[in-house]
Amino acid sequence: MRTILIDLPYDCRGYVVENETGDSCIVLNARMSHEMNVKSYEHELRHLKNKDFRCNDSVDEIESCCHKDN
Amino acid sequence: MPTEEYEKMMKLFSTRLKELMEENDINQVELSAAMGLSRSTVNKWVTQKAIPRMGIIEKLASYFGVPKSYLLEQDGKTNKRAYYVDPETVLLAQELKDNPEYRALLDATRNLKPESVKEIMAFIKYQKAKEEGHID
Repeated sequence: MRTILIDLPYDCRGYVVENETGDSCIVLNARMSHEMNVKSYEHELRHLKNKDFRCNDSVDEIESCCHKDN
Repeated sequence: MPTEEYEKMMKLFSTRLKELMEENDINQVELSAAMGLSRSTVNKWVTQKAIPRMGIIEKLASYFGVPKSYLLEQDGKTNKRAYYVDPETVLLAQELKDNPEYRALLDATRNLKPESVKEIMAFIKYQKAKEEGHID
C-alpha cells in the first residue's frame, strides 16, 4: 500500500484516495504522533476492507459506523 | 394560542425525545438533572406542552449525540447518529467521496471544518495533476 506523510489540517488525521484503476494511497498527517498515524492507517484500511468507496451509504453514516468500530 | 405548525413541532420533539430517553434508558428525573433543569420542565416537553429554547435543544442534541435536526425536523431521522457536526462539512466530505476528481475518504474529528476539507480537496487535485505529469 502506497502511503505518504504530509502536513494536513489538525482536525484531519488522514485520508485514503482511490484512482480510476482502483489503486489506493493512504495519506497520513505528518503533524500527528506515530501512534495516531498507526490508528489512522488502520482506519483507512478498514474503509478499503469494507469497500466503502462502492457503498451507497452517506459519508456521515460510513464514518459514524467506522468510528464506532474503533 | 399555538399555531398548528408549532403544535406539530411540539409533537415531533416530544416523540423524538421520548425515543432517545428510552434508547438511553434515562427517565425524566435523570434528564432534568443532566440538563440542570426542573423535572416539571422536562415533563412539559414529554407531554407536548412546551418546546425548549434553541440553546437547550443544542444541549439535548449534544447529550444524546444526535444532530439538532433529529429533534426538530420530520426527515431529521435520517440524520440520526450523524458523524460530522458542521452540515457544510457533510456536503464537502460527500463530494470528496463521490466526485471522481477526488475519490477520498477521511479519518477526521467530528468537528472537522469545511475549510480543512477544501484544503484537502486542493491537495488531492494538485497531487493528481502532478502524477499525471501536468505539474513538474
